Amino acid sequence: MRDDDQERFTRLWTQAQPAIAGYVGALAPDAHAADDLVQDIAVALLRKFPEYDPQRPFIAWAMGIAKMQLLTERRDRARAATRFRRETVESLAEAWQELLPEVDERRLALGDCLKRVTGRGRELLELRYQLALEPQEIAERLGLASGAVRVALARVRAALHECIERRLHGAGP
Amino acid sequence: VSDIDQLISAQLDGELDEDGHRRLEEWLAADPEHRRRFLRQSIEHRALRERLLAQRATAPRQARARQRQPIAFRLATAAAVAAALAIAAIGGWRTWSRGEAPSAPPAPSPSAPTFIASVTAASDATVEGTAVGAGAAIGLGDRLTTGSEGRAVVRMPDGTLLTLAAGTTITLTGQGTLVQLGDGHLDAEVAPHPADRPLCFQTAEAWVVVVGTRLEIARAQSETVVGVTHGAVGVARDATGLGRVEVRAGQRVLATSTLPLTVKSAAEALGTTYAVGAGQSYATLDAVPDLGPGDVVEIHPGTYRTARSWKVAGTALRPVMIRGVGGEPPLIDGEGLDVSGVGAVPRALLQISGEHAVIAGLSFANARNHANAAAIRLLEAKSITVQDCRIARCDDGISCGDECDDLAIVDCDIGFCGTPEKDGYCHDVYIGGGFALVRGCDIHDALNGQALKSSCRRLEIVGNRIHGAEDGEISFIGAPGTAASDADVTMIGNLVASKPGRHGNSRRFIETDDEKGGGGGRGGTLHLIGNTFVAADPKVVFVATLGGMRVIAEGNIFSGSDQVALLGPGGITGRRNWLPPTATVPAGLGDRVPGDEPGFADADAGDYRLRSGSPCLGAGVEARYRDAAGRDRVAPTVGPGSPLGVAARQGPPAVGAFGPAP
Repeated sequence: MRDDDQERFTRLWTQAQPAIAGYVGALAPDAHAADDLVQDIAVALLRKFPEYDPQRPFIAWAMGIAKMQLLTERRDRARAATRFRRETVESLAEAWQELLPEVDERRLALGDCLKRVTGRGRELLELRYQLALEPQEIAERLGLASGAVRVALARVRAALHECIERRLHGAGP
Repeated sequence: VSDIDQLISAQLDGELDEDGHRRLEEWLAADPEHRRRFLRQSIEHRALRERLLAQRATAPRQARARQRQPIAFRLATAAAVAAALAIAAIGGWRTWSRGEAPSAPPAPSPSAPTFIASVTAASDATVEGTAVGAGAAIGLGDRLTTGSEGRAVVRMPDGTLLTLAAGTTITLTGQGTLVQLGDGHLDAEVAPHPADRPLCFQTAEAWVVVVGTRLEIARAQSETVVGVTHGAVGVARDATGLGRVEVRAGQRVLATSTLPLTVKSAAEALGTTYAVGAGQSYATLDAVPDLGPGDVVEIHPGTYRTARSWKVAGTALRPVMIRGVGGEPPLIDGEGLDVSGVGAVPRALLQISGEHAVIAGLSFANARNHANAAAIRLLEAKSITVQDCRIARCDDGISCGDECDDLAIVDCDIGFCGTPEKDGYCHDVYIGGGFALVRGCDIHDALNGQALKSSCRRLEIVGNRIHGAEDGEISFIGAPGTAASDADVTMIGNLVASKPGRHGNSRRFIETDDEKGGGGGRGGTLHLIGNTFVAADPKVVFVATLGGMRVIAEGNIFSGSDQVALLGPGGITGRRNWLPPTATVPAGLGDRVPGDEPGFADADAGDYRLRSGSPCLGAGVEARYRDAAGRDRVAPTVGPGSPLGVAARQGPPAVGAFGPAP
C-alpha cells in the first residue's frame, strides 16, 4: 500500500471505528471477543482497501465487510462471538446504520439519566460494569438469588432506556 | 419488567440460553422497531460500561476489589489496526505486503488486570475528561491527557514509567503493550520486555518498538520526533515496519508523512546548520538563505554590520534557531546602516516573518532611522521566542504588529532605546498581536517612551524588572480584539520602578488607554499579583485606566506615591496590598496590609527584598487568575531573578515581588 493510501485508510478507519465497534458489540456480548473481532475487521479492511471505491461512503463499505467478517467468524469458530443467524446479522446491520446519527446524543442522555439511578440499582450497575462481575457473582456478593439479580438488572436497564427515550423526545424528566 | 427486557438484558450479559436466543431472534425478525430497540439498548450498555469504568478510574486504586479477566491480544482503538503485527514481530517486523502472516497472539494472562497502569503523580491531568491525581488507575483504552500546565507520571505493572509533559495525550491499549501518543511529549523509561512482547508506541507518523530502554517521543503538527537516551529502539512509519530504522542512545529520528526516516545525533539539527562568522561557511548573515524546519543558524562571536529580513518556516518540533555560539554573544550592530523600512529595506536589524523560531544569545545595538527602527521586528510572525538577548540604543528594542501571535520574550536585557526625534513614541518593547509572554527580563531606561508598550490581546508579564523609563513604565493600548471581556493582562512578581526627574510624563506608571482607537479600547482584566511598585515621584499614579478594563490587585506593594489609581468605569478591587498610610485608597482596596513602611532591605540601593519585621512578610495570599487559555490557575510565587530570569520563592507568601532579605 502506498504511503498516502495508508494515511487515507487510517483517517477513514479512525472515523468509522466507533460505528463498527458499536455494531459488533451489539452482536457479540463478550466485550473481549468483540474487540478481537473489531481488530480482525480492521485488518480485513486494510487488506481490501485497494478495492475500496472512494465514491462510496467508507462506513457503508466497512459495514459490509464487518458483516461478512462476523458471519465468517461465526462459521469458522467453535465458540463464535455471535450466535445470530445470517438474516439477523444483516437486518441488524441495516438498522444500525439508521441509528448511527443518534448514537452520540443517546450516550449523552445516558449520562444525565445515570445520575438519577441511586440505591440498589446504582450498586448493581457499578458491580456489573465497574467491577465486571457476572450476575451470579453479584448475587453471591449481595446475598441474593441470581434470578433476582438478573431481573433487577433488566429492570434498571429498561428504566434507563425509558429515561433516555423521554429525554431524547422532549418529554423530560 | 417485560419478558423481552429480560431477554435483551440476558443477551447483553452473554447469558442467553438456546431457547432465549431463539425467542430473541424471533422477536427481532418480527419488526424493524424491535431491532432498533435492541440496538439502542446495546448502545446504552456499551456507554454504561465506558462511563462507569471511567468513573472508576478516578477512584483510589485500593478501592477496587476485582478486575475482569482480559483477553489475550486485543487492541481497543482504531489506529491500532496493525498492532498485532508489530507486537508479535519483534526482530522481524513482518509485513502484509510480503504476504507473511502475523505471529500467533500470546496466550491469555489470567492475572493481568483490566486496569493496566496507575498514575503515580499528576497535576492538571484527566482520564477521559475526569480530573485525576496520584493513585488513579488507567484502564484499557483510557485516554490520559495533561493540560497546558499539567504533568503526569504513569507506572505500568512491569515498572515502566511514562512521564507526560504538559499538553500530552496518551491512550494505553493492546493489553498494556501499546501506547498511543496524540500530540505532546512523552518520556518513557521502559522496563525490560520479552522480545516477543515488546512495548510499542504509536503516533500518526511513527511506530516505535521497545524491549527496554529510555526514550522520549514528541508529537506536534503531524511530526513525531523519537529520541533515545539508553539502549535502542526500532522506528518505522507504521506497523508494517517498512523502512524501519534503529535509533540508538544519543540519536533521534524525525517521522513525518512525507520525509524518509533519517537517524541523526541528538546534538545535530533536524534541518540544515549554517555556521556564520569569520572562518565559517558563511562569513555574513546576509549569505544565509531563508530558513526551513529545524534549520539552525549558529553565529560565532564577532560584530556583524547587517540588517536583514528573514523568512522562517519552523514547526513546533523543529523550530528554526538563530543563535549565538562560542562565548561572548555576537553583536549585530546597525551603526550607519539603512533600516528605513522603505521598499525592501528592513526596518530592523533582524526582521522576521514566519513561525516557530527561537532567537537566542545575541546582542543588538544601533538600529536607527530616528523614528521606529528596531533591533528585532516581527512581521506576520507566530510562535517566536526571543531569549537571552541584549538590546541597547535602538529606536525600539523589540517590535511586532497586531498580526503576530504567541510571542515570548524571555531572560532578555533591553534598555536605552528611544530617539529624541520621536519623543514619547519609541519604547524598549513595543508589541502587539494575540498573546505574548514577557518573563525574567530587565527592561529599563527607555529614553523617549515607555519600557513596555503593548496592544497584545492577552499578555502575561512575569518576574521582570521594569524601570527607569522617561515617559512611564508600562502602557496597554487598544487594538482590534482588546475590548473583549477576556482580553486580560496579568502581571505577576514584577518589580516596576520609576525614576526621579523624568523629562516626559511625570504621572504615568501603568496605564491603559485607547490610543489606537478603531473600536479597540481595552476590556478584560488587568490582574496585578505580587508585584512591587516603587514610585520615585509622589506625582505618580500607579494604575490609570481610561477605558473599561477592570483591575484586580492582590498582594502588591505600592510604595512612593499616595495616588494608587485613577480609574475608568472598570474600577479596581483587590486584597492584601501594602499602600502608604496616607494613600488615597480606592473603595475596592479596603483589605490592606497594615504598616507605615513596606520594610524594604535597602531601597536606596535598589534592594526591594523585605527586611526582618516587614509587615509584608507572611502577609500574602494565594491568588488565582485566568491564564492565556482562559483557565483558572494559582499564581506562582515568583519575583525577578538576578540579574535576569525568574526566581521562585518558598515559604509563607510575602506581599510584593520579593521575599525576605537574608
